[in-house]
This record gives sequence, structure tokens and C-alpha cells, in this order.
Amino acid sequence: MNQPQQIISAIALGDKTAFHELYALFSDKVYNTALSYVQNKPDAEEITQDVFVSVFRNAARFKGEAAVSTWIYRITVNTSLNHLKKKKRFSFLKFGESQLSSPDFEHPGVLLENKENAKALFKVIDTLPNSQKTAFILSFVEELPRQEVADIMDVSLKAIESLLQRAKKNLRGKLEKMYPDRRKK
Amino acid sequence: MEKEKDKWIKDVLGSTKGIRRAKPDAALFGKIERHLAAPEARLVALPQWRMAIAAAVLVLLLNVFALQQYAKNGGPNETELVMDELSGQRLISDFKLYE
Repeated sequence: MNQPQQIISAIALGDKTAFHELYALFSDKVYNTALSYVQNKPDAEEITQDVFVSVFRNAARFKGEAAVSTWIYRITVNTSLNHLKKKKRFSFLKFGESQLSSPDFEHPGVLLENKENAKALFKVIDTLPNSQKTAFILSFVEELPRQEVADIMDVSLKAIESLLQRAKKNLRGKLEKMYPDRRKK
Repeated sequence: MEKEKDKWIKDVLGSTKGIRRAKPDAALFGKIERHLAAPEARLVALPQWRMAIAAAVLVLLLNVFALQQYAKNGGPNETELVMDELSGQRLISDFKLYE
């Protein structure tokens, strides 16, 4: 199999086989990242489609300054955040219904014994500010190394640590408020 | 109780550990290929839309203002009409159009 960099160069020349190869390598990563943001399958697929269309059309512009995976993750994060922004902008058309995400999102890849807890986690992740949300999703859901998260977000390693600390503090605070509700169930 | 709560929060925060990747629909790649094969839609940038809307609103406001002024003054008054008539007659006689 070719290296991702070579695949991108081939895609830039319009090679459809190379594009399929890249899709096989990255589609799961793109789809799962998008799924963590939008928390529903149709929107995550729409984002995956937009990301790969963007990769195909911009392959010639890829300079190789960052790793291919960093570049693709960056496009995925931006596309997901834009999607959420657009959805929020048009949510007033839904006559007050909050349709930003499913009320109880169940990630299909979560282990059975963690399903209930993960449901609560995704609910509170949704309330985080974008930068904290991105740092948390990439670090703890995608389980990427901190340096890669820093490269994707184009910030220092120290900034990532600080974002994660704030994200955890926020999540903890929100979960504490959720706890009494949980006990009533 | 506090201990129980802390444990629950810790479990929730660690609940994505060992998460397996979900797979997108198998037909998605075909959909992407069809999308790429279709001609690209030309998008009009948002600032252009904003400028066009601002211009339309400005024209509308100017028209409303003009109509309001016209209504407030009750249209052309008597003196203006007489003056218009006189100047018209003068013009005709000055140039002796019908002589």
C-alpha cells in the first residue's frame, strides 16, 4: 500500500483508485469524529461526504507541511463545527424544538457495560465550548496522542493540556448537576 | 453518597475507553463519487447576498420616506399648481408655438 502522502499526490492528478484507497484508510476516523460532534448518523455521514469531497478537490493544494492524517482531521473538525453552527443558525425554523442532536445519543462503538455512562458523557460533551469539545473528543474519544491533537488544533501542547483540564472541570460540574436526576431513575 | 457520586463521574468520564470505531454506510463512497461527478454548484458568497439585501432595504426605506413626505405635505399645493400653469403658458408664448 502507498504512503498517505503519495496517495494524496495521486489524487491531485485525478486518480480515482488512490481516492478509494484514502477513503479506506480514513473514512472510519472521519465518520467517528463527526459522529462525536453531531451525535447522529445521517449528519455524520453528510460530514464524511463533505470532508472527502473537500479532500479530493483540494488535494493539489496539500503542501505536505503537516501529516496527511492531521490535515484530514483538521478538515473534519472544521466541517463538523461549521455543520453545528449552520444547524444552530437554522434551528429557529424548527419552532423551538431543539434538534441539534439526538436527546440520548448512543455511540455504536461503546462497550455494552459503558452504554449508559457514555450516553451521559455525550450529553455533556455537547454543551462544551468548541475548543474544549475538540480537545476532548480528539483526546478521549478518538484517543489520539496529545501532540497530534495539538497539531490538528494548531496550538501548543501546553494549550491542549489546559483545554483538557478546563473541559474535564466543566464536564464534572455538569455531571454533578445531572447526578440527582440519575438517582431518581 | 459523595463517594458514590465521584465514582459515577469518574466512570462516565472514562466511559469511552476502548471504544470501537463505528462504520459509515457501505454505500457512502458511491454517493461521494456521484457527488464529485456532478457539476459543482456555484455558490454566491454571503457578503454578496448581504450587500444586495442592504441595497434593497435602502431603496425601500427611501421610497417609504418619500411617500411619507408627500402624504404629510398633502401633495402639491394650490400656489404650486398655479405657478406651474403660468410658467407653462409663458413657455408656450415665449416660443410662440401656436402662432
